[in-house]
Amino acid sequence: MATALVVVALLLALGFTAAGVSTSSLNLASRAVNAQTARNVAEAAISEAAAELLKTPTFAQNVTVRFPGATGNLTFDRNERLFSTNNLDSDSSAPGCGGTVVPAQAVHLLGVGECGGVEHRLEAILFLSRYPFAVASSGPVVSQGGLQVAAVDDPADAEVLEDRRPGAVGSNAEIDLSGPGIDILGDVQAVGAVRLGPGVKHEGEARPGSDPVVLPRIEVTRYDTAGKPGVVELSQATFAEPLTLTGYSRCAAETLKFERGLALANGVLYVEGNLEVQGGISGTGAVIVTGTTRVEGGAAAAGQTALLSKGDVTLRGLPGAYQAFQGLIYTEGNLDSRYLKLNGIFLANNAGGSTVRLDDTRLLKTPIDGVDFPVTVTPAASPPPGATAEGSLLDVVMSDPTTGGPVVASLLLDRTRLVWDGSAWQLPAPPTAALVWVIPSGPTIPVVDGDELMPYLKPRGATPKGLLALALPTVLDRLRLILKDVPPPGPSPGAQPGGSPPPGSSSERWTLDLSKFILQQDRMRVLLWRDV
Amino acid sequence: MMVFNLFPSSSLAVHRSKQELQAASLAQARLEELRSQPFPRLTPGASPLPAVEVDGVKYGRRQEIARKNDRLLDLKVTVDWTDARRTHTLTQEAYVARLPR
Repeated sequence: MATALVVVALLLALGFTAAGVSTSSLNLASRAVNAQTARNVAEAAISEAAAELLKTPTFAQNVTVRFPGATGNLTFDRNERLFSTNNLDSDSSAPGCGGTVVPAQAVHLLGVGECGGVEHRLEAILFLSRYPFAVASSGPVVSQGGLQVAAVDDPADAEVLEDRRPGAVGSNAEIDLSGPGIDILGDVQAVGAVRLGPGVKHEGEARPGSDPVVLPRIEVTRYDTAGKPGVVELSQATFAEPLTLTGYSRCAAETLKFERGLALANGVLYVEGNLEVQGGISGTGAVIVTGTTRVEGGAAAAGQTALLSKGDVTLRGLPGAYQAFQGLIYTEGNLDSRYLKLNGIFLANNAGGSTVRLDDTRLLKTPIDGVDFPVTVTPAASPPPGATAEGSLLDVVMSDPTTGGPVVASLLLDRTRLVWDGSAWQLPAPPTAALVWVIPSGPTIPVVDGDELMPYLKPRGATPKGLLALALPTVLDRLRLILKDVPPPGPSPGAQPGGSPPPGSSSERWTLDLSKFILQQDRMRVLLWRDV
Repeated sequence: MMVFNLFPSSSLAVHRSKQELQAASLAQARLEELRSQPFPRLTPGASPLPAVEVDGVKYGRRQEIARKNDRLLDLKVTVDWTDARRTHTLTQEAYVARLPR
C-alpha cells in the first residue's frame, strides 16, 4: 500500500512537472512572438512618421499604428517620457530625447511598440543628405584610363590623399571603366551593368541593377542674362585677345569664340549659340550656353564656377596643364572630358541618355552642392569730363565750309555700352547720336530742322545727316583716343578685396543650389536605425 | 487518468510552441527579405510563397503588399501549418517607407 502511494505521488510530481515545462515553453514562445510583433509595430510607427516627413518636412504630429493585438506609438510632445525631435529646418544641432544630439537638418524618431504586455523601443535618425554623386549621367559613363573619383570636405584638401572620402559614380544606363590609372573611392551605381576592368582600383560597392539615379533637371535658358542690370551685349563673335568678363554679359551668335582664354571676374556669360574657348576658362563666374560647348587648354577656375550647356560639352585640358573647375558642370548633351580637374559635380542629363566619357580626369565631390558668388554690376565706363549724364558730349572741330574757319559742333552720343577686349575699348556698332550745334556764347541747339540752322554755317550741299555721317567716325576715333587712358572694367584702383565696389556699382548674388532641383524625398537618408 | 493525460498534453504543448516559433521565424524572415528590396520594386498585391518543411511540419506561406500612400507600404506575411489536431495561422506585419537604407 505504501509503495503504491509512493508511486502515485511520483507520477503526480512528474506529471505536474511536465505540465509546468509545457506551460513555460508555451509562455516563452508566446512572449518571443509578442516581442517580435512589438518590434514590428514600433518600426511601423517610425516608418509612418518618416513617410509623413517625406511629404511634409515640418511634420510633428503623434503617430499611432495598430496591428492585431499590438500598438505602436510615436510622439513629438517633449512632455512625454519618450519623444521624437524634428530638427530638419535647423542649421544647428538640437537636444533630443535621452540626451540624444539631433544633428542639423535631421530628425530623431523614437517608436514604442507594445504587444501582449511586451514593450519594444526603436529609434531612427533621418537626415537630408547632400547630392551624393561626383558624376551622374542619364546614360553610360565610360573611361579608358586616368579617371579618379573621390570626395573631400574642404577643397583645400584636394591634394591630401588621407583626407579623401567616398564620392559616388552614378548612371541610369551602364558604367564601363577600364584602362590604367583608374581609381574610384566610392560606390559605383548603375541601372544596368557595372564593368570594372582588371586594373581598376575601387574601394566601395559596385551596384549594378540599382534604382535610377536622381538627376536634377536644370532649365538652362532660365539663367539668360537678358534684362539683367548692366548686361553687356558682346559686339563680336570672336575675341582674339584674352577677355575678362565681369557683371552680366550676353552674346547671340552661331558660335562665340575666345581664342586666348576667357577669364571670369564674378561674371556671368550667357551664350545664345555655341561656345568655343581656346586657352581655358579661369576665374569665378558662370557660363551658360544654349548650344554646344568646347573648352581647350589649361586654366584654373578658382572660387565658384558653373558651366551649364544644353548641348554637348567637350573639355580638353593639356597633359601638363589641366583645365580646373570648382563648382558644377551640367549638360543636357554628352560630356567628353580629358585632362580635367573638377572639384564639384559633373551632371549629364539628356532625356534620351547622355554619354559621359572621362579620361585623365580627376573628380572630387565637395560639400557645396552648387555655385554661389556675388555679381558686381558696374556702370559703363565714365564718359569724358564735361559730358552730360545722358551720354557723351564731345566737341568736334569742324571746318566751316563757307569760311574755312573752325566751328565747334558737338555730337551728343546716346548712352552706349563699351566693351573692353583686353587691350582696347570696343564700341558696339553703331551708337546712335544727335548732332548739336554749339553756337559760341549762345545756347546749344539741337538739329531738329537743319534748314533753320544751315544758314548759320551756310554749308554748301550739306545736310544734317550728311554732316552727322561725316562727323560720327571722327567722333568715334576721338572717343577711342580719349578712352585709351581709361582703365578696363574691374575693381577700382586701390580697392581692397571684399571692399566697397566702385562708386555707382551694385552687387547681387548668382546662385545655383542643386538641392532646389531635388525632391526632399530623394534627399532623405537614414543615419541611424536601431533597437533601444 | 488525469495524471496520465498530462504527459501527452505536455508533449503536444512543447511541440506547439516550437512550431509557433518556427512559423514566426519564417514570417519574419520573409518580411525582412521584402524590406531589403528597393521600394519601387515592391508591387502591391497578394501572392503565395513556396511552402517550407521543417521537422516534418509543412508551413504554407503567403504575402500581401498594400499601398497606404505613395511613400508607405503595408507588408503582411501569413504562415499556416497543421499539427495532429488542427490548422494554425500566424501573421507578421510591417510598414516600409520610401527611404533608401
